[in-house]
Amino acid sequence: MQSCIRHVCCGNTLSMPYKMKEDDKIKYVYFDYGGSHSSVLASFIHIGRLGGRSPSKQELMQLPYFDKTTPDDFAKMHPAGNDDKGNEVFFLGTKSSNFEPTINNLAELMGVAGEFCFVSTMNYVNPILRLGGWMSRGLSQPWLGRWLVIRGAKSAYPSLVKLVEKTKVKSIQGGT
Amino acid sequence: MNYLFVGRNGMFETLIAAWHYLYKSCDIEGAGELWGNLNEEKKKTAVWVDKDKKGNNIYVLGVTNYVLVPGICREIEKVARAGRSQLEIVPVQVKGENVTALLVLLSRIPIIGIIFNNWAKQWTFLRRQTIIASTKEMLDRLEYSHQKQPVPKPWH
Repeated sequence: MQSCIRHVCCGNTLSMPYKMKEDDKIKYVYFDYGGSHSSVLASFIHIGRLGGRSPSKQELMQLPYFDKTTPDDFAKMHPAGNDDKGNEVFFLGTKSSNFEPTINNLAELMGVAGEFCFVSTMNYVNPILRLGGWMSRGLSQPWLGRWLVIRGAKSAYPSLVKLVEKTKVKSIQGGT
Repeated sequence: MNYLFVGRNGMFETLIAAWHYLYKSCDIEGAGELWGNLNEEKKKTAVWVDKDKKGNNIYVLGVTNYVLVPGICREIEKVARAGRSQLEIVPVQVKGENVTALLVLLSRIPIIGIIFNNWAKQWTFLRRQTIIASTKEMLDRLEYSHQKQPVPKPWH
């Protein structure tokens, strides 16, 4: 069995050398503040359930957990599925807007950093999505916030597609 | 085994808890540059403090969502192939931590920030007994929940 050393990308900031076999799978974890919008979108884009074009309202609302999470879902890693290479993809709500250095560091301390690729989607949350998400999830008023969430999600969609593409390429080639 | 003391402010309440766990002493000035260090606080990564008598590494970390950190680590552990990790999380939750966080925030103001930094240190140090008591309680609870792998108990 051929083995290689490749750099596993962990979000945008940290990369670390990890000796892994060709058939080793990476666990991709997309995370944001609530684990309800941008991270859900990114993980379903990653597994190929959403295509390159901007999804309709119905398509968005059919996604599990999209604008449907409760405070109990914070810190829970929800599986989205497997990508075309068999890597598992998860999404997570961390209740923090700057958790990327911390989660990578925690994985390092736990000795599992090489298995995971943590990707923060917080940079792709635009003000409309943020406001809609806060109204819908934070204030529990989805009738008020959902239309903003849909608009914000559609507007953030192209950048999330790019983020997923970048993540996939980096994790294969060894990104920094 | 690594021990990670995690709280709202890594270089204040959390450091006092870790320091007392290590040395059974409240002489936090011995922590030198770590005590009230804003640069370390800003990094949002675990800071190594020392090794305990059994050779376990002791780290401190300050994050706003520290209450969720044990849960996030459990989730990572559950999904990882490696199984149970060698990291024990000790949450340090004490009253008045938000006041410290505000003072820490104000410490970033140029020139006068040092006043707030000293105030934050003083405010934390005055509450040392409460911090130690709540951490002891948390460690006892951890020991109870991990009876197969008990947490070393340096408390007297």
